[in-house]
Amino acid sequence: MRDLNRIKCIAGVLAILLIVSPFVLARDYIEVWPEGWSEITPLFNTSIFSDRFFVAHDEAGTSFLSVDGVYFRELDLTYRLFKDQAEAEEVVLRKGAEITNAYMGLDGKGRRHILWLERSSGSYTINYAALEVPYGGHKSFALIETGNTVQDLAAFQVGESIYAVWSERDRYFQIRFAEIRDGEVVHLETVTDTPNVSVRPSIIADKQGLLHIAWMETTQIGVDIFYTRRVEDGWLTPRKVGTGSVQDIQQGGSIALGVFDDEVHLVWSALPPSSNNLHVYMAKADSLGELSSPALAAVGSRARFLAGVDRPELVWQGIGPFGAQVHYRDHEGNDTNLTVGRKGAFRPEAYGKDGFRYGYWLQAEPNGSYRVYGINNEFPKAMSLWRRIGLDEQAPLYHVLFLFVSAFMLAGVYTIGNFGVVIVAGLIYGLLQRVGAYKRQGLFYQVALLGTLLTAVRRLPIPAVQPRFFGAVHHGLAYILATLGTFVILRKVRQRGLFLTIGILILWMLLYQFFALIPQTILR
Amino acid sequence: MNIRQSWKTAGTVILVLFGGMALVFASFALGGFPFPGEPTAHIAWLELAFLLVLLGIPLFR
Repeated sequence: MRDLNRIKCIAGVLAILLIVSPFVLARDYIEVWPEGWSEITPLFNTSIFSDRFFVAHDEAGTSFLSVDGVYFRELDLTYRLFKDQAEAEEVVLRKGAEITNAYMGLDGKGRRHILWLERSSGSYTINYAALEVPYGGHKSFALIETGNTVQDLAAFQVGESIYAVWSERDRYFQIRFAEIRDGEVVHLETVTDTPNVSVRPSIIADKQGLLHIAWMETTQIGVDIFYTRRVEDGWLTPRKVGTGSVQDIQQGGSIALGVFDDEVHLVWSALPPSSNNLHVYMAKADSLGELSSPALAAVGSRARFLAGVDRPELVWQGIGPFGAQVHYRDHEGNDTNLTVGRKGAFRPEAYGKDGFRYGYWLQAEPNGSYRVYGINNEFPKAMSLWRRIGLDEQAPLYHVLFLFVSAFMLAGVYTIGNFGVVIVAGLIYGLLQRVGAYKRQGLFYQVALLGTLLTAVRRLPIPAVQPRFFGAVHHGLAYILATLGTFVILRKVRQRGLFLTIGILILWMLLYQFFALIPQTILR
Repeated sequence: MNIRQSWKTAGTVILVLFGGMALVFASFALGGFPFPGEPTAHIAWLELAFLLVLLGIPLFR
């Protein structure tokens, strides 16, 4: 009896240590890295007052244009040049102004051309500046000044010319177009003529130099995406591409354009009929201007085509457990979640160069500011075995213990949450047991049948909590392990009947939830 | 159930849990860490097909 008490005492201490130590010594989550990609590099602080920041690459390095600051009426328009992952130049082009949009284009000769939209008391100005690398000073000019409300400046650079579009309220919001050369507006016209509200224009030029514009038009019943292109005698009659969303406009979304082969691709966000979440839609116009039907690409918003690549590749802002996350899709349709850990990432921009991909996005900082982060697949981070399986490489055993305890406790809660499923599966099994052929089967068959019944009944509309789905392989593995585990644990039980059935049901469900919850617990 | 049997059972449970965990980690090591997604309809059909196969085995044995 003394030996038994001693064993109980030791077992109790061990159990307490097992339960408590992982929480004390292990971190509460692990950052899972996209394989083949670099460390995430924090670059510079910026703001979210402008809809996007710009990134472009040439032989001088990677150039950024951002609107920085903490108060929306005192923002700094800042140009930065990064070389070899380090900041080489930082120039504030305009200090302390209310800047709503900005654009940066590279002309291929090393010059950076900057446009920005500025609001001051009662007027809006579109301004221009150009600078060279290395920086040797710049002058800025007000190209257009108006008392009309102006918003959503966008532009595209072809050689020495910048083609700019914006939305201007002149009784109604219309899309306006300007060609800017050598710091002067050489051509100015209005593209739309409609009582609808035309906003969020985007512009691009194809390989023949033809200009293409897409914009959003809000009507009484919703938002439409329109497209037109310029021919010798002006803009063609605008054609509807698809449906947009007021929610996307409110969140600063726009239509991204890309030219691949002879086609102009469009990507934007809208709400599908059955969802409250923005989804990314794509369409294209062929060389004759024929439009394809919009195709659903992904859940998310703020999609952009990668610059500098031959085929359409996307980055967009998806929805993750910790807020927004950034996804990348290559030309073969393979998706990679570039976001690491539990930090929300949003407003992605990306480009390709020499077969490598470079992605940038914003992240909120603990002090309330926003910072641009970058990732690339040119310098992939070494992936240790621990990291590959999602374990903390500094304390893998403690992390395993932590996962064990967390997943086991969660599995108990999830098993209770599947009470209805267990009851229904048990009743079906009870009916089957009335057939002699099923009653005579061995334990392994009974466990497999009950497990399969439970997985099938889970699909019925019975209130239950389910672990997140981590792919068919993990789901299948959790099923096999739960079945084998239940069999191994109960194989020596001699009793047959109701109690064994209840035991199998509960034990199988507990084991299934435990194994299925492991990746979810890692990412928690 | 004697004490020795209880320890054996407890050991088996621990072995199943940690062994299964090790197999899950091995699958991550081989296939990479899985990212969460949405279950597709064909998985439900596969589960149903497997259930039918299981139900058919005793009838044709």
